[in-house]
Amino acid sequence: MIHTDTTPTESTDTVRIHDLVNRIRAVLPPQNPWSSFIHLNPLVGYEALPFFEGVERASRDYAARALPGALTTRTEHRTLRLAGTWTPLLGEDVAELQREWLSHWLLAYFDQGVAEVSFAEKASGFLTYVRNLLKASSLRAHPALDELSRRLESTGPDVDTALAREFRDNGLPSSAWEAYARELAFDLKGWSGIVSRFEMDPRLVDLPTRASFAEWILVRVALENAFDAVGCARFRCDRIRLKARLLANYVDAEDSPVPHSPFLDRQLRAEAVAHDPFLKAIADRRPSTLAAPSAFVLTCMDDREESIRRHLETTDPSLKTFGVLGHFGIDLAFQSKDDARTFQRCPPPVTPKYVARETARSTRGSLSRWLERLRVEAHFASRRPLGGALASLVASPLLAFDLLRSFALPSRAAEEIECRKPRTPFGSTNPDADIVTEGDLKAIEADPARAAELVRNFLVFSSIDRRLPSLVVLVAHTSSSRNNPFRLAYGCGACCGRSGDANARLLARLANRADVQALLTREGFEFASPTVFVPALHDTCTDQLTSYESDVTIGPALQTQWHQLLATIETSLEKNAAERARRFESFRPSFGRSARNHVRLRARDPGQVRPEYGHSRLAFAVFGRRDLTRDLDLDRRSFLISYDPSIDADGRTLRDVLEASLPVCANIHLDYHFSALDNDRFGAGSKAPLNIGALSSVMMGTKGDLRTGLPRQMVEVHEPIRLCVLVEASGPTMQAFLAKASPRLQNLVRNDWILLHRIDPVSRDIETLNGGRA
Amino acid sequence: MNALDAVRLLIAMWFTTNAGLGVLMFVGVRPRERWLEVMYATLTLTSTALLAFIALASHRDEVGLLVPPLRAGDFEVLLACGVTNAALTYAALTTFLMGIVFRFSSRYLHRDLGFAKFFLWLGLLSFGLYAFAFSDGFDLAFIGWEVAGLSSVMLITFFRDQSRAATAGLSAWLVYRVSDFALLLASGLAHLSHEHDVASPAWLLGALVVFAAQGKSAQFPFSDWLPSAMEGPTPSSAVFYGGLAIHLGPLLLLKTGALWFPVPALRCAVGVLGALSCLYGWRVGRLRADAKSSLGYAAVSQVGLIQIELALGWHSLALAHMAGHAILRTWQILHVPGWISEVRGHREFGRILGRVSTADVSAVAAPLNGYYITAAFQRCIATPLRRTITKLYTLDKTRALLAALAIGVITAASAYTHHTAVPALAAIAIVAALESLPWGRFFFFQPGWIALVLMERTALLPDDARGVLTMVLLGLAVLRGLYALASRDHESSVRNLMLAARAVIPASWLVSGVSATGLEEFVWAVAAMNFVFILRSLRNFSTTMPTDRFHGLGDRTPRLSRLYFVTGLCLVGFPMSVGFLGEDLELHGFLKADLVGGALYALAMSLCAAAFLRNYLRLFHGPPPTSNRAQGAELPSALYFGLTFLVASVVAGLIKGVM
Repeated sequence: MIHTDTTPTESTDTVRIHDLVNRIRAVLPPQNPWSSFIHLNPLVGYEALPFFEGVERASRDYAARALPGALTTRTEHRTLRLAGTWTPLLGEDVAELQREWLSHWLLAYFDQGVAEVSFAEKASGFLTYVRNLLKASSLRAHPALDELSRRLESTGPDVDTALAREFRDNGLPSSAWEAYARELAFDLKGWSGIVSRFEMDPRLVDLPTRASFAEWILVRVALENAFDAVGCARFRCDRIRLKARLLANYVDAEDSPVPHSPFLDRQLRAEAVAHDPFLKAIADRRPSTLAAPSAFVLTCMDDREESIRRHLETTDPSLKTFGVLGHFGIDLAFQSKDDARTFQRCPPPVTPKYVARETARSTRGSLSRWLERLRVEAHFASRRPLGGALASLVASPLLAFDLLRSFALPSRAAEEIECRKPRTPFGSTNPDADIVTEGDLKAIEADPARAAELVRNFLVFSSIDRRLPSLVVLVAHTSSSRNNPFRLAYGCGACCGRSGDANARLLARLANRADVQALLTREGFEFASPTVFVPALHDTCTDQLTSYESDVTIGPALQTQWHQLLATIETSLEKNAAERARRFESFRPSFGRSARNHVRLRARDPGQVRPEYGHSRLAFAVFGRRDLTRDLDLDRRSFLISYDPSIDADGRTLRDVLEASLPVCANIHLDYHFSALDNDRFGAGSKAPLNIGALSSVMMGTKGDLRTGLPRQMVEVHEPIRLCVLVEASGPTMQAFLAKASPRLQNLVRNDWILLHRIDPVSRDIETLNGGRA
Repeated sequence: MNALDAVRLLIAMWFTTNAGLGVLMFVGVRPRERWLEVMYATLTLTSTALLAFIALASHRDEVGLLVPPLRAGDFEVLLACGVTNAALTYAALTTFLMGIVFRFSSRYLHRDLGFAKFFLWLGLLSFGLYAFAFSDGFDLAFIGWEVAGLSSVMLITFFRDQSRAATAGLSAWLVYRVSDFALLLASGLAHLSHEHDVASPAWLLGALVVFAAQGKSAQFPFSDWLPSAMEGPTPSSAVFYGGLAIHLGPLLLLKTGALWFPVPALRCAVGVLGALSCLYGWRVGRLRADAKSSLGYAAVSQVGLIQIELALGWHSLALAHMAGHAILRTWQILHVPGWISEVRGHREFGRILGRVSTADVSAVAAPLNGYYITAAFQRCIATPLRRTITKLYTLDKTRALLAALAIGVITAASAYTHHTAVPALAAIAIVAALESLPWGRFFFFQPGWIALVLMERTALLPDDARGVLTMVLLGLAVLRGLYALASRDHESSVRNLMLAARAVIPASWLVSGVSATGLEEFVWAVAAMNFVFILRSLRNFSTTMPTDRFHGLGDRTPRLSRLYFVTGLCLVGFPMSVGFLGEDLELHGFLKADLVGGALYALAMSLCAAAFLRNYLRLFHGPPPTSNRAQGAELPSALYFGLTFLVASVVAGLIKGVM
């Protein structure tokens, strides 16, 4: 319950407002625009609470369900807004009207190149923009807008003071302000979240736009107050009394206890049913160490690479595979031939240290370059009267042909593409093109000692065996799809949704150097003479592998082995495609199509809303030696991160690995978890009606909120159970790590957002490190 | 087989398959995705072959009837079709784009719960477009026009839990009703001049046609509904608001050139409205920051250009422009989901950003606000109108109103018909007094109606009173229709809807003798029973059903919602429903007597249709209720339909017997 308190002074208000705004910001969905997407736990602001309690609290803010199968948390009796009072009186949906106007203003303000005109006010802020817009509007659609205009006219330069004034004006006691502002912020949660992201990271916008979350909240609150003022004036009622009545019925999300739900037991059972057999299977395994592997294959730790590793090892048992972070230890900002600028290709929290670019900007012919140029021009021109008429009369035969070819008959188009030279996936480097390094990375390349250090750090971090075979394949991954706003969510999570091929190529370039290998030999690594690192790129959607052979020289002695390895990879990819295709309803093997053709078609088809299922069904993460899981069919449900406790006596590598990888695992998993738990509220809903707003995010229709989370088609096979993490480490090492872990990791573990287990390297006993399962 | 046979086959094929599918789905059959894919692929391929045949075999001057003429008294419905270059072009475009979209959607909506619904409405749209394209004369054209409009609204509101989609669908429907009103009137006038040589002013038909085209194609000043209608699945938005449906207006203008082209004022109007739309779409659209609505405004501006071409008489250019534009926009809207990765992720994106110009927001405030058209409509028309009606409504309902209305109308009408008002006044007083009896919840009890029948039978009704009484009843129908649209409570809205629909029945008797078919009475009785039944069942969910918010009952009671939908369509005389012929007949009767009566009738029917769809959307769309109340309120079984039919037949028989 919120109690009425004594009236505070203005200066204390302003200080409080600042904290209040920051607290609201912390719980909003932290989603980036889809142009630079990263997976994040959408409920990251609730991680300080125990899992089920945090989700329950969030479900009240989001009006979502807290447990699978449960009903949506009811919100009717939890409002501090008078919108519900005015709606029947004014005969119009007040809340919806506000959403429409606000989204219209926000869209135009934060636009990144849909509209042809941008505003000079982008430099001075959202508040100025709305104020000027209202002032210049000679006829406003509603009396509330007149009132809003008056209010914004009289605000001073200080946003916090203005906010305090608006709060004081709305008739609520100051103890209820936060709940009120949170309700308003969550009413347009996608917009609130993205405004806050834009403010925190100005790199997210390409057209310079000043974003301020406090200004946005100010406009939001002022608009609500304007409606209240109009309503109170027209129906001659007292705002304070109305608000007091709301307050009397109000139950604050923070205060009310979490009721025990029958669905909680069901959830725990579902988790036990999935997790226990998995833990038992690993505990029961009698590991056998591979004597002398013929080659190493390093893939990303991604659960989608679990199956390809399994198929590689069953096809050729002498192979050994490792799961590493997909940026291969190079914190890179990279610009490929398809990019307009450099993009981060290392885990999201890391700031890229190195810069590199692909040289050949285009390898296509002049005709296609001309067409591309035309497409750029057509972006605006086709929407203008004369340009549109010209495009209609001249370009339409071409477009009709394209419609027929790629929309109606994508299978034919896909086959055509295959007949020609296979294209490298969009956003990844071309095998013929060279990578040019800049700045510090260039210096590293010139200095063997620093190069060796970089490679050594990667090898140690990834727990790669000290004795390296003659072939080491570094497999980065990407995912092709067309006409897909969520493309980055299918990419490599350790490369901010793009591919790690440039990182792999750069690492290979350093590691293949004789001087580097000589330096590393001194540090205890044993190289076959020579050891060749071959970078490659796996397209997880088409199950194709591009190897960048031209980067390296594979000596004649290794040629046979290399070709054998390629054949093994090819077979494994086929098996992998077959394994994946089982899940697709539209795959009909009887029609004589191979699984690989089918998955390839999915990537090329602009009408395909499920190019692949991504991380769906993800439920486990294993940090340990491959021996733990080798030959175990984990059904593409587990992250596999290589960590060898036997060469990490002081637990430093463990700390590095867990600190770097565990948040990535948790973020990806929780993003899927909540989108699957309540797809309408936490997720983005169906893909079918989605529209693109401000070239940044997806929205339903042309008005209203931006959608956060993942679409239904992406998570429909995901089962929302928590992530079960198993770490192979001795008890003391693990305890030492947990004691000094970063605050976020401590929260995740202590509050059961992930279920952390430890398997003893010697005794194989499994210990639960959370305070239990509930 | 000649070209006309092929046209008949084409239209009949799309009609029967989709109507059949509709009936199957109405009774609850859920066809499998694969079947639908095959069915629509087959239809598309067959249509392609038929069109090729038509193009080769036709001399471009064939005209014939689609079905034998439907006669009722001196009235006949002639569903005439003909082959022209415009028709062929548009039909070819329909086949091509619909074929693409059918293929595309089979993947795009794979595993969606509404997969079959989506294909059904797209299929009906195809039927409507073919019927419209090949129509010769208003009857068939109107059917195609209406079917396209309804399927457009049903696809805007495709996602039943989205209240914003329902609102957008409703505003599209309201504009459609306005333009349908004009087309319906035009169709009635055309009949009149065809069958009775009653020539209406030359400009009137043309003006009605031009007006109808403006609404349907979102031309100035109706432009804003189209961009906000992009709430349905992307492929349907592409085909409706980028591709095919948006060009129905220019096509209508092209087909009816003979009506408006010779009138200089109308030619001017078409050109000026086209130019205004072109400018409006461009200036407003270039500020829109979401992909679909910016493309929507761009489409509006291109259609404006096409109108200018039509006004200048450049028909071939307009046709080519139309075809090219349909392909361009369909392609663009289908590509919208890729904008983030393919436009913003484009390596030349910097160049695109370089093209963006910067302006002070105060300099572009007017276009950013849509030149205040919506605001002006809201503040000057919609809000005052709603408030006035609500105020009227909250007065003691019937008595005060009927008295005021009766006096007003009688004064006007007696001046208009040059008759003495005394006998009419007497008749009206009796009817009004009886009508205002307290009737509780039922709208079955209709003393005024029965009294009227008796007066008619026993020749008590003075001849002088007939004309006036007709006008009173029609005025009443319009007023009831307005009430139904403005009413805040669902039950009273339905009651007013039924009363509006009922008031026109005796009015129609008065002008053209007792109805020849008896269809309206029958439809009315069935509809009344269905509505009573549905409202009763829905009372399990909530005792009050305010119409100002969405109740989201569609998922709980899918069968009830389908029944409500079909009932309402029949009641408002939607094409292809049983009520349609009756509606046409009645309109004919009124127009024959009096142009004003016809206009009132068309207005009343349009209002009823608007009110019905509003009620339907408010009841069954929107976020589903969170409470667990009344799980079992669903329609019990198919038995109900049998029973309804039986009872309705008996009631209709009784009414006939009384007369």
